[in-house]
Amino acid sequence: MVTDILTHADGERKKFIAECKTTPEKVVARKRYETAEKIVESSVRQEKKNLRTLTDKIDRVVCHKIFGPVVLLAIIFLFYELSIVQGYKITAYTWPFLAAVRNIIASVLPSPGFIFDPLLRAIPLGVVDGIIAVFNYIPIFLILFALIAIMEDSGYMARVSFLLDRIFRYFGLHGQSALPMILSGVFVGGCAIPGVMACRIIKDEKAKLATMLICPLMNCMAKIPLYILLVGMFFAAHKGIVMFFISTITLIVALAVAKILSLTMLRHAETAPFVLEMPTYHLPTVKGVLRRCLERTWVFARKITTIVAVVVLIIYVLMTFPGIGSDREGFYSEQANRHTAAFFTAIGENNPYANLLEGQGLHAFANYYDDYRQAKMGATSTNKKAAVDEKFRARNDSFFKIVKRGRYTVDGTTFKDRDALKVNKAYKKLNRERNTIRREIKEETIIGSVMGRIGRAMEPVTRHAGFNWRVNIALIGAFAAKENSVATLGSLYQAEPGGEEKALEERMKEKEKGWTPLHALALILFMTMYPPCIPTLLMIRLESGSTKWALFATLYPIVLGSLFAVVVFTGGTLLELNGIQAMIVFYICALAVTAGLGCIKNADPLDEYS
Amino acid sequence: MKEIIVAVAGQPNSGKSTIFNMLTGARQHVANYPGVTVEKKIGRYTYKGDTVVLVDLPGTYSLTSYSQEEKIARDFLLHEKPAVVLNIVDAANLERNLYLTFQLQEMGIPMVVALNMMDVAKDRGLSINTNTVNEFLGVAVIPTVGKKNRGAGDIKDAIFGTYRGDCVQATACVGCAACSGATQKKRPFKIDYGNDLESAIASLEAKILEDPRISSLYSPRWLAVKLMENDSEARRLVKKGGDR
Repeated sequence: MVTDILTHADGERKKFIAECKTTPEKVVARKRYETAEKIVESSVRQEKKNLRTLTDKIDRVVCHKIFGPVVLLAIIFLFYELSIVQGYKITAYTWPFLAAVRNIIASVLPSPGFIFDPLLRAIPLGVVDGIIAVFNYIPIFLILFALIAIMEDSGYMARVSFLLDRIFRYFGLHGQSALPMILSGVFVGGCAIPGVMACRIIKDEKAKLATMLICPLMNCMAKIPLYILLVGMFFAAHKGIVMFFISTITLIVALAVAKILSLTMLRHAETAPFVLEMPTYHLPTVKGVLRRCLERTWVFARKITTIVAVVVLIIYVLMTFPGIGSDREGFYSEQANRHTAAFFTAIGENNPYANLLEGQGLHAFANYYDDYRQAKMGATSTNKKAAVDEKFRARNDSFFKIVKRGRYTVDGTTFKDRDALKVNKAYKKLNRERNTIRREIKEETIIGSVMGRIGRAMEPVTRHAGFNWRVNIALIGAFAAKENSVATLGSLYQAEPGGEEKALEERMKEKEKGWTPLHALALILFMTMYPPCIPTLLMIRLESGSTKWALFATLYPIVLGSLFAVVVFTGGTLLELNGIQAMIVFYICALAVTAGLGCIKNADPLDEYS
Repeated sequence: MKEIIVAVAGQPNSGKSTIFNMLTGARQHVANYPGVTVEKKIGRYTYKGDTVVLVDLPGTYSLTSYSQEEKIARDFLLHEKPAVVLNIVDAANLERNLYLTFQLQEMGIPMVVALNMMDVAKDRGLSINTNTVNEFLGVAVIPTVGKKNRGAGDIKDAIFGTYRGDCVQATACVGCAACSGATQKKRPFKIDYGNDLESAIASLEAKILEDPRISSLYSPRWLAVKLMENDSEARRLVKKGGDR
């Protein structure tokens, strides 16, 4: 009987479509609007004619064919300027607080060993470093989310949807796809997590899924550090052009992907008519804006502290174990002992400080020395420097004399201590040797680790994209959260703790002498298409209600990214193009493909019946 | 003492929350609809010894099943069977708001319309004849200004009257003492979808009425319209109804 009803319904529907050349849903919607119009006509009287509200006046400009997009572009530029540019300036003021938190945590953990650090120190510090590196972005997020909340509450967001719908609908998207894409960072850096969450507002199931799947292609905050690193290294002369390329190529590819998806996998997803309310403009309330921006920032912060922490931990373990083995450990200990013996010879047996540094004393001094340098770096003003000196003098007077190179002041009299100076000089040499050993150990650990083996095993394949094993490791590590990519590169191109501080750019250049801008371009392209981080995947799974889509959202960017990187690197090498040339050729091709796809007609629901 | 369940439905920006707060005051609590992150607000008030439980549905423009909010609103109306649905309508945007009103009415649940933000409408130079709207829709239509607490008593009267099944007159209704004797029930309002579609709907309605397992659960006309629209959710409901 039930099937009866459904077959009967199908029959009636087919008959109706055949006879009336239109679908019932169109008639239903039209009749409803007509009836509403009739009721309003007979019950509502417009007393003051031609009353133009302020909203109408604003909309005449903002929704104008030509001025509308101009205003939109200006506002997007303002977004960029206020959130990214000014936000980064604010991070310069907030960073010392985060660094202070790190130092506090570091000080309660077991102190570092002379050459091997205890795991109880290394692991928690690794996690803390990972988290605060991202917390550093929070000022930018606050500004960005506040601006977006203002845009929503004022009613302008509806106009953005209206303006963009004209372009978006060619690609199977919806005017309402605009908000998720802006949140994900269509031009200026954002985060895919609130972006995917915002897909809820899209009524059209097809456009909703398509938007959700392309959100991770946008330039999220976490992709930006790697761009900045590579652009600074290889495209210093063309910074503007390359940044423009990066911020628009993602949108171009995303539109193409959306169109392909809506023509293939999402062909049968439900669509809805585009109903968009243009609310009257309101002045947003401070409370409303703050609530929304704090809420979204909170979602982001929670992700960082929970999931990222776990993944950083896993990556750390994968990059550390199985370790270098006791033979090599013995070898390095032996080296360290030899250098220590040389140190004591250099300062001489009769040096009054020699006794103090015997046995555990040297290790204690090493930590004291590093702590002092750390504290000095954090102190910006003369007063603060004096306070640091006072603190360390109180901690250990004799050590203080050494770190001050024997020149210190007590009650207004300045002393010169030749023995202390001698110890200081000898220790500096020892410290350099110690750092070399530590770096060698770290490098050997990573190469031999699970991650290192995977990265090396993939090298024969990834070579075609110009990626060596170091890059492979960084890219795998980035899967946890892309902000890790630069952090991982940082540890691969080893910083020297306490040693000479060189920027990562320089350290990379030293190790990768053969790198060309083409290598960098392939890497940038792979990063633009990088699969969503695990928290975003969880969000996609939650919002789409299907694991299938979450898996798809992981796989297709990897395929696309690899394809682009290989095409650009191998193709560029064969055609002997330089980085900029390859970039322009790629850009034109992508633009042509996307424009071509936009011209293909969208699937019409009537087609199934014709 | 009875509990009368009333669903509060309306489009976004119709002032639904303001009316909800006006009716229930502090007596409300917030929960989540099962399995989703959409908020579910429940409030109560007492009317002549009976408790009225108000459930705030998510604000939606229509009741198809495209978005999570629409699904939730629709499922609540279909499965929880509220005694009355209170439809908040933005008087300044009457035409657009009626789109949802028609869909609510088609579902066959007794309805009260609150014509809200009458002050805004007036400021825009609109003069609305509530009696005419009431004649058309055949349900109680109460003018309100949620922000100024205007119309709360009338709404409560109308809800109770509608619940008892004898109130259609908005302004005259005072606890329905006046019209309880006289049968003022009008023919239920229907949208005329035109001859072609109406005949298809009628034939489908007849088919649905043959199966009491389904016609007892859902309004046959609503279901017929939805099936004509090829609504996947409606098809699922029919299948599920038959499986029981």
